[in-house]
Amino acid sequence: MVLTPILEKTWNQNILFSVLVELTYRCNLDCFFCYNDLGLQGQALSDEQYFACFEDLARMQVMNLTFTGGEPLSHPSFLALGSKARELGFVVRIKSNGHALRGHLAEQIKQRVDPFLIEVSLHGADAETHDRQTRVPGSFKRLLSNLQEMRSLGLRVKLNSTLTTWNEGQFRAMYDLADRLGIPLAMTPTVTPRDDGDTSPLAIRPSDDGVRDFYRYLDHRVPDAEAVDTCHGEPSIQKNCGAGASGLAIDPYGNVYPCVQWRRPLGNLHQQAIEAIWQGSPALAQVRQLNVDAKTTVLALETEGEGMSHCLGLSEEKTGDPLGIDPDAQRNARLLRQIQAEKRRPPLLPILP
Amino acid sequence: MNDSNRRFRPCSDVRFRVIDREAVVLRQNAAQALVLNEVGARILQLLDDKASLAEVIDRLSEEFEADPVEIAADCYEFVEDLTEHGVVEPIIAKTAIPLVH
Repeated sequence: MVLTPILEKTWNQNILFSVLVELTYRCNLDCFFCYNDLGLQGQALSDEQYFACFEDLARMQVMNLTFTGGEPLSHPSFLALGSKARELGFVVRIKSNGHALRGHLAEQIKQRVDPFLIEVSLHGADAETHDRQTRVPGSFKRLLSNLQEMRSLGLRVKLNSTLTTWNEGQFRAMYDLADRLGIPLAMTPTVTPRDDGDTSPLAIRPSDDGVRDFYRYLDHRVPDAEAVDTCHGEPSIQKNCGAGASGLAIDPYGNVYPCVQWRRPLGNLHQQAIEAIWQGSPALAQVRQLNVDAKTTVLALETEGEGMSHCLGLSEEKTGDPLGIDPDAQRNARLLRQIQAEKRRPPLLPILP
Repeated sequence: MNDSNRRFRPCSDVRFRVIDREAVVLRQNAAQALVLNEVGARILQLLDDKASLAEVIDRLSEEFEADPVEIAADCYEFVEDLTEHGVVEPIIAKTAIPLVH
């Protein structure tokens, strides 16, 4: 891939390339497994503070700016902020539940923001399953209608989904639905706790059989692709992932983190400009070292680490140590290796002429 | 292409950044990424700053201490490539039309 050497450089040399901005935790849906810390307090960033931050990021040659939430479209200044991001030349991505992406707002987003990609969440292949997650009746029907409208406006859309006990029996139908819509779908078997430490979303983590079946299907669907996006990357890359190395996340109150999953505070935009945090935060220096150490830790697992996606943020949240091994990541890797071993196993019965 | 007064600009779906002297270019409509080397990156930056081809050539020969004639040939060819790949487009000067009463 043409970008691999650039990504390698950004990870190894700590060149900020991608920033994710959680504009608000307000949302028009009520997903059971939402990871946002809805009790978090603070002073929301003003539009002027966002503009100043975006100008700093553009000067720093940051390429990707992702708006998320909550539901980012529910921020009252979303169009103004998105439009500013476009004017400053960012590759803009929007992560949305898609519920409001219709009519005038969808047109305005196309005209004023022109995002590279809108990533929309899909929770099931039918209304019963999708709406069970969103806890808003009619949200599935409305999403399908909105997706078609987005496509007709020329917006580039991708579907994201998390495998859960609720939808593990219908992920094939979800991929079929995405194919019919002409929209790519990416699913992950990783359910995360909430950012406040509440582990109740883990109650719907997919079963072993569900994950195994999912990997088997992915292997059949895309035979040459890796079923799991292993974060630790190429041997020449010194870090486990881009957290704090090429990427940062900002919450609605100006707190800056290494990534959306790793909520270790690095600084706050009410007190410091983003460049000062990027250049001088002692917490960020520690994060970068941990990221190097994590790569060594995963490689030291040898066979046990094969196919494992180690997330420092999830590990810190679940085990108290960013270098600790998340049991769910370990399980998923074990199931993946089982599927790979099945492929290598000779048939039980000889094929007779 | 070798009219040195011509100006080009990045196409409206193109986004680019210069990272460690190389340019990472994304053509959004084609979902295609390109990487330009240091000289290519500088040309794209100068075009984005509204420089004419003549001004680009002057700046490059100064910055890279190279023969302007050689730079000019390479520069015309490179801008033609960028145009063919949908990265830049010529800026068409608006002609003043006299008002007729």
